[in-house]
Amino acid sequence: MLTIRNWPPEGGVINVGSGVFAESMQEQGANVYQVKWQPPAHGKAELIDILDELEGRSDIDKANQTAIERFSSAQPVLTGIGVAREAIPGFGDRMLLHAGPPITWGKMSGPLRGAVIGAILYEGWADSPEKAEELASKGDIEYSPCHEHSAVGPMAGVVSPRMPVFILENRTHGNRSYSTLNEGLGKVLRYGAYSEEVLDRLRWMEKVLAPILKKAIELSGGIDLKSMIAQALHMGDEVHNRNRAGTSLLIRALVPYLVEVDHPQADIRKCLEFVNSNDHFFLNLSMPAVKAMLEAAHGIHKSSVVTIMARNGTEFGIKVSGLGNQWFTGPAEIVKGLYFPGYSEEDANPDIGDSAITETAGVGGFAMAAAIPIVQFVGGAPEDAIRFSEKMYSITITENRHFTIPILNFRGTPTGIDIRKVVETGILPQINTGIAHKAPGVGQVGAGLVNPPWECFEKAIIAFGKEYADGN
Amino acid sequence: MDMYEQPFYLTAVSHGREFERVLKDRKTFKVHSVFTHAVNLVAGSGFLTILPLGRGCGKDVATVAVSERFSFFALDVSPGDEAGMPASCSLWLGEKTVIDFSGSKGWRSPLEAVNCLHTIGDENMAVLESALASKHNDSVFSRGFKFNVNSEPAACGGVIEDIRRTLLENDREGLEKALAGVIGFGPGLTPSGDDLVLGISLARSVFGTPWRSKGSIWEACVRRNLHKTSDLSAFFINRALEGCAHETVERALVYVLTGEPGEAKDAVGRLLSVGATSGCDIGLGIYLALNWQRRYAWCSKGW
Amino acid sequence: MVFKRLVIKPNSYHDSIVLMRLARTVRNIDKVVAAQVGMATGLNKDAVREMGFVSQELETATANDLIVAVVAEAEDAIDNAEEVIKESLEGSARQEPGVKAAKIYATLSEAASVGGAGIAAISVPGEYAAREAGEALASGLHVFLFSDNVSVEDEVRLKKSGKEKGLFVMGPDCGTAVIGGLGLGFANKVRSGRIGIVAAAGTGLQQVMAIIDRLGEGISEAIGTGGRDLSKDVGGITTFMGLAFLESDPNTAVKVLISKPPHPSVRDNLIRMLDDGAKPVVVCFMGEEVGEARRSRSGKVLFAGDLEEAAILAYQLATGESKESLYSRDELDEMARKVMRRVDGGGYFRGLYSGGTLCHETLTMLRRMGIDVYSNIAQDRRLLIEDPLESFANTCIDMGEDYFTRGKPHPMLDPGMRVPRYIAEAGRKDVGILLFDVVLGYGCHRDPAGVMAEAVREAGRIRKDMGQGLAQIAVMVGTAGDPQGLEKQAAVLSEAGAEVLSSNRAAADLVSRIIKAQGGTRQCLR
Repeated sequence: MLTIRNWPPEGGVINVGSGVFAESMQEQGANVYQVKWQPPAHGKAELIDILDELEGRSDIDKANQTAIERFSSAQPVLTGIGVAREAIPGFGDRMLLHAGPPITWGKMSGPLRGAVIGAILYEGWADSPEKAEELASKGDIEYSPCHEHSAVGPMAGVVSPRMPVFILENRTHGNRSYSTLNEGLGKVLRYGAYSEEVLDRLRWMEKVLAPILKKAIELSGGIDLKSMIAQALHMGDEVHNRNRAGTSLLIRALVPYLVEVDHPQADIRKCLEFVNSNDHFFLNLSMPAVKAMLEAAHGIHKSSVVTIMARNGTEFGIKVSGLGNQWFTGPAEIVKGLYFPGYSEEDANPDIGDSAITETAGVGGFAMAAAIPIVQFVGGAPEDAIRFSEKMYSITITENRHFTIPILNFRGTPTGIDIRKVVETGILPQINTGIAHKAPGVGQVGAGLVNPPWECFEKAIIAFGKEYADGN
Repeated sequence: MDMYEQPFYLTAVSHGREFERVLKDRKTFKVHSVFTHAVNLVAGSGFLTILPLGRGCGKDVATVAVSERFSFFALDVSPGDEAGMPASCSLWLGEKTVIDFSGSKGWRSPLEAVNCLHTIGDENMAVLESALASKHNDSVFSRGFKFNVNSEPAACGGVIEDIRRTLLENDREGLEKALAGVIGFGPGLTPSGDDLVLGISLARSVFGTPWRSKGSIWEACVRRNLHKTSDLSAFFINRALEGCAHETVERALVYVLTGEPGEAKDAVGRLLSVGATSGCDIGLGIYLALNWQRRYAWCSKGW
Repeated sequence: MVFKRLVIKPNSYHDSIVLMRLARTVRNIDKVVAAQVGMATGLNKDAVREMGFVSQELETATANDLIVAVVAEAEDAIDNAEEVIKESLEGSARQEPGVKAAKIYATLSEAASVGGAGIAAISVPGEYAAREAGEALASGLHVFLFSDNVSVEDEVRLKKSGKEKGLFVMGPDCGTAVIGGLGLGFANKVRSGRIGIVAAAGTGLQQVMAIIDRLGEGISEAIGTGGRDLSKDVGGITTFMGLAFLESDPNTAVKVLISKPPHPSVRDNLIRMLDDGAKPVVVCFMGEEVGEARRSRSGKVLFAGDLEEAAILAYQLATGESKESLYSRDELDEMARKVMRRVDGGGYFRGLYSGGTLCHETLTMLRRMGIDVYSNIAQDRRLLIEDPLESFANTCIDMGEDYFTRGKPHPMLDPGMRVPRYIAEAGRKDVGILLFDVVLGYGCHRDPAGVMAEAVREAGRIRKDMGQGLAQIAVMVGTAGDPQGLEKQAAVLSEAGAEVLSSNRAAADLVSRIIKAQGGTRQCLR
């Protein structure tokens, strides 16, 4: 005997395809769930075959749950400040860390080259920019991505051995992460500036700022950054391009201990002024905080969750939890956005920096709806901010238990980018970011929105298919 | 059928020769203006118009198959959108509307059939005159104007009288002065005064070509004053000076010249119902030009 | 007896409003005496202590940890409370978003994961359609598959999988269905009634529904199957499921089956199944000649020769009323006379259809009258037109066929795509009769008659210039309830100068009368 279930079907209709039919069914009073259909995997047959192998696989879903659970339970705490060479694992004597996937001098863009020159001068390995450039190009300097040392750096992201770095500890899993201290806006090393003024500031940060902050942090017994990010999201930050609330919260947390630090009051005051005058100071903490969380989720066998998205100004690279140390790269794109007066898209460097780690963790561009004022900075209308965030739920596995978006009824931020979902839907992660001038040292020329190149995900799904398609 | 992108589809039924610039040469235009029943495209000083089927074609016109009640405002096309042909036969207006020319036929002007000089028959002139008289309040120029084919229209007065007189007297300066108050006169993209000038110019062109009067003071004077009006209107007048206009206008002229009175009545009726006043103003222009041709054979005199 | 439970979740952050609301919900659970849900701040810890909880864990908990403390009169109330808390704190997509916007999903499975839908309507390009349909079945959804160009292998696989799960797969290439009163695809607004239909043909189904509606009866369900269902390969999986459902459906009194003739191997099983059923059934195998008997052995199966007849027979069975046809002989004669006056000079017949089934029916009807008609879908090879853009003698074109719709909308969505051809035909001196269909309903063009009316007027003008008459005949498939408005649409066309009929058979009949009256029954072949 043939049994037909739920017939005539109760409930609504999922309409995949023609909007005309969706409209006409709505007109008839039906509850229509409209799917904005795109050919899966940009219509590429070989990718669709891989997707068919990988979708609906409970082993992969389970691995992803494990990765997400590790990410969600991670507990990043700012525990201190150290010297890069000593604090960061695997730091070589003549090594410079940089943002994004691996790169050689020959392929570096303007801002990254400028930052490398600046770092060489700062370290005293050369005494003029010309000599620094010569040194940089000769192969005497070892370049290594921050991400391969549990570190992250905004824009050029250059870290040199002497630089002070924040040390964060994931109290749940024990892993650490690192980041330099934010230098502020204008002519700064991370945008490739290396003038005397820049180097002076770096020296002051090393000699005065770092020791004072270090003591205050130590006195505090560690600052819980995860709850600070959660609060900042409720105060209009998305902790990538807007960090005003986060910076304020940080000051609030530090001040009681700063007053106890045994240093000249003038220095302490200068430190506070420095942090206070730089809305982005917290960026160099939100980045390593989520880096510590994501690193805990990396290396889970069979997990298709993205754990790194980073750019070096030439290439965009991603890493996937279950695919070990492979980078999947594509050319970095030009950021679309609002330019400061006097600048245009022609001045822009391709997308650069490790700061897309925030989007990888489901904040930044993914949490734009939490930071509606940001549309004034990156362009668009308030609805766009909400739309961008909502769209990201289509490519993520779950919603964050801790980071929530007030205007979406405190819905958790979209968390756990699944490469299968990105390839299936063709929806690319939404990153909002600063725009660097393509010439070294000019600085930020605007801010806007950018996506990773599709290629990264295409390469990743192919590699993932090779590794796991047969179910093992 | 690729339905997931769903552009708005329109099917072109016929197109004038100037559309070859897009169809063959792939020249890219921009949307100039959108009306309920017309979309105008522009590239440089050239215009193309898209009209619904049933509203006539023309050298610069393409007609598309839509229903009478269809409004082009529903198309999501805005001035400034690009209009180009990335694939053959498909003209895209902006990103969401495509006009399919694969079945469209080339349009031929009815004026092409008028290849010898015609005497202008009384009966057809009377048809035109009575049609105008019944709507004489629709055109500012014909208000208070006494239509009488056989009488000397000296009584008409105003701008029209000025034009008639200065042309008769070959008074270049006087005509310039008279036209200065006509071209660009009235509201809209094709002002009333322009429509009047368009009608006169088109009718003159039929007679002007064989009499080689195209360089006479009328043509020169009109051209000199075109900067006073909108680009679109100037374009239409220029076309009229070259002997082209919209099908409805050409048909009215052709049928008055060569048709049976019944046909002339139909064609004139259609012309006079165009726009709010446009049809009446153009019709009046045609009437005046033909009347003066009958009376003074002005074209043969080269005024 | 009092039960207590304290749970501390380290490093769990939640908004205080959410937690307050949650605590209130928990307190309202039956048998719960007291409940505290909050971050382990000093105040909250005090409150929990007051509830009588003592634990080392509580003392060391920090403001980053979530405490859940419940006191209840029954153990299961506590379990209950914990379930509620877990669900609301870890639940996925939360309801009632603060900013209300029409939710649009990126994929079918995303939409399905929300729950609430029972069927998926799929109209994506054919190459991707099977994949989407497979996902719909995996999500437990019935499938309405509008897309065409799906391989037979995929169709068989999907239908078998659907049958196993107890799910319908209507299609591929299923144009129309009315399920539970909801029209899917191109569907008319029909009265609900006692006639249940299973149909392999979209416009064929619409024609039958429209006539039934016009007669005052209605439809219980109209299940589409797709054109290949009764082929040998597919074996009629959906047709059998549909007919079995109608047999058991209390709202259905009469069954109707519309299809191309089935493969002989399927046909025997099908007729046997219908003979075994309790309810009478009308079967219309399009293009097949109906024998003298007109009934199956059991007498329960009635064979109809065309769509109008199928509708009329079903109406008779459902109501017991007698009705011969939609138009009487006299009405048709009168119409023919009226149109003939317009034609004067005679000339060939040209039909331009948007509905493939209707085009096919017209070819069949005219062939039965002994009139040869060329077509791009002719079954007779001699009459098959290789270039669908050409016309010979009497020609009838299905303009919804692949050739015309590649990369373009179907004429049911854009009736205007027929207009250039229509006007070209009108401009030919040897043409005297133009026939076209106008299909109304949900999903179709908003004003198809308005578009064709412009073409009819233009054709009239052209013929006037040519000094020749022209017969313009329109078949209008639609119901009074259709969003376009049947009467208005018909009026627009007759005003423009077309003769409007609501039965395709009647229109074909009218065409044949005109052709015969002109004396030319059999035009010479190419």
